[in-house]
Amino acid sequence: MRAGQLTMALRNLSRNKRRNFATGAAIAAGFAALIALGGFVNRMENYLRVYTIYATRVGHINIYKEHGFERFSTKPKLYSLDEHDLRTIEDIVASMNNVEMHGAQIVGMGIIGNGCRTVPFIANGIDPSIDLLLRNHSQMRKWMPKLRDFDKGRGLWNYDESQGAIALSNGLARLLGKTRVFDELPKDQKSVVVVDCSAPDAKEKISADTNVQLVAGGWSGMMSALDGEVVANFASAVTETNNSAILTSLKLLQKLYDTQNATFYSIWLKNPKDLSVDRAKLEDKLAAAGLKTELYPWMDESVAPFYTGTMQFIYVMVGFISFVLAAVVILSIFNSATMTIIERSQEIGMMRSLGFTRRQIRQLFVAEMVFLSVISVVCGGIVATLRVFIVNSLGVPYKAPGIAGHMTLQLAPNLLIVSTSAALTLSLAILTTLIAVWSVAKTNIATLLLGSQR
Amino acid sequence: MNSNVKTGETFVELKGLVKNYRLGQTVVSALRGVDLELHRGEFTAVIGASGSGKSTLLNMIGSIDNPDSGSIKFDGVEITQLSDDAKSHLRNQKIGFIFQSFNLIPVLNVEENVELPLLINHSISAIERSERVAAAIADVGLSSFMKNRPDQLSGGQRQRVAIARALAGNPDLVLADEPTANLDSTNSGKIIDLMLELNSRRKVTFLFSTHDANLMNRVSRIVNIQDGVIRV
Repeated sequence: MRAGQLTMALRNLSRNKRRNFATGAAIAAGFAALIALGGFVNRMENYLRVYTIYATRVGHINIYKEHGFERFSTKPKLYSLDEHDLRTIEDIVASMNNVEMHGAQIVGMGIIGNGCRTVPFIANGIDPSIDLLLRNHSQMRKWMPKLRDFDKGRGLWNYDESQGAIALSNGLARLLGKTRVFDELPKDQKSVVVVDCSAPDAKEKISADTNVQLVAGGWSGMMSALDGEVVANFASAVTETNNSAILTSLKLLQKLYDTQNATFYSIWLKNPKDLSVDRAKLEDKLAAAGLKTELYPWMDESVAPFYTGTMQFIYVMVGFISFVLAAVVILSIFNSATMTIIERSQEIGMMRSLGFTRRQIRQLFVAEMVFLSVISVVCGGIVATLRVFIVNSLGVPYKAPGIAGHMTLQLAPNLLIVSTSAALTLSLAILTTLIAVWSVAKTNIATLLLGSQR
Repeated sequence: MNSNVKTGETFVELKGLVKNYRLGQTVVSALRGVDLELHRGEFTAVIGASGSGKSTLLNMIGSIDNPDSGSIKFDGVEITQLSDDAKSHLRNQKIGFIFQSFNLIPVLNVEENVELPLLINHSISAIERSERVAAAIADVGLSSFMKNRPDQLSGGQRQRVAIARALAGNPDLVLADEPTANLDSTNSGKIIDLMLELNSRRKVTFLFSTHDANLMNRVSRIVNIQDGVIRV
């Protein structure tokens, strides 16, 4: 197209300003809504990804004993990684360039008591120094700043192994009546024995110290029990575990389950984009070392059901909303374009008489729509930026299914979302205009000159 | 300017042109076997009652409508067989159109309106384009209105712009469908004077339809069409 044709297309926008304004507003609103939706999805995806990889300590790659993932809970000793496995894995992983952190973990169940009441627990044991690194990880700071801190108390890494430091989820601490943490007690505080659990002061006595008892079946088949001190309370993020989660050291749980083994070995990568490559390399190296293992990437439905399930739900929901949104914008553009074309059919006939081809007529209308869309997208971008700023500033709390406590409504659009939304909006506008102008460009010129399409 | 025009030479030839329109169940015969030759440099008026087929005839010659049967040769080329793009090219290069209702683009000024058909002629440079536009506007006496938009012009001036637009491409033939129908008698006379002058000076062939009886004695040839047939 020549400059003169583009000038004409641009100036044509000044015709029927109200209609063009309405169409532009629909495009701008649609674009801004796409950015908001994309920002919401991006925020949720990052929140749940970071929650899975760092907050629940799953890591980017999990190494299980062969069939360990399915059979560990029934035969933990047989389907856990033994000392030899762990040493070999550690040596292999330590030699990989893209590995940021790595360590063994135990996941186990049992019951926890306060002297009067016992409650089932699900424990996760990890080297406290890794827990420290995870909580200070840049991804945690960026996407889950609230969850990286303990609600009460200090992290496990501040305590000696012999102290039996345990962090309880908020719900579990409440169920046990352990409302205080170790650092809140006087230094000379001794354990309080509650003789009569039905006595009026029993509750007060229970909360007077931080001692709890863990009981579990050892992996060798014997029952095992040990004392621990509640050093911290934390929000477990998901409702499912908020009343049962325990975080403690790997060694404490190994002692509880009477084993030197670990359930799995987690690896956190520096650059997760290379996950599949690193996974393949690791698989080869483990096989070469003679280890029979299974590797799970973090987004595998087996190891991250909450992430995959929630994201699938969000994608379906947002996809549907986007579809409805797109339909509204398309209909708005189509309606406007059709009205404009009908009004200008005589003009189209005149231009065809002057030698404009069908293609050139289509180009003219498409150029007009591109100009209108670009202006609308810029305006929509400004609206979206303001919206994101306002929403993020307000920090609107809401209850999300499966998430413990309240989440804060945050929108996190990025360049990819903005550019994809802009490309989608422009494509829809161009396609819709082309459909609207297609038939009229093919209409008999003499008919067009009469001022009607057909 | 068409300096190489050989006046009198036949360059448009219509044979057995038939065009029927279907209006619901009724078939209306607009042209019923029209034979006609146009010669270079002629100033020809097509006259006839409303619905006689004047506009249809002009549309056929201008390749903006297709006959049901018959032949139209333009410079020896059978245009009924041309593709849509080839017809567009023909119209752009060889035919100028003037419409009853001027059909100017309201958002473009006089200069830009006249330039419109040249924008799609990629064989013309930008310099030549502006020269042609200026010459065409000067020919119709609107040089001082170059930057005015159509809504700032009178009806007569608008039709002059339309004439300049038709002439800017240096066409062999200008087709005008009732060019004075929307003008008062004074302006009608001026427009016909202008067309006559351009026909004489530029040697451009004019074929126009009209109802205006006052114009009959000023044209070099009259084609009388009645019920889709040319009457001698």
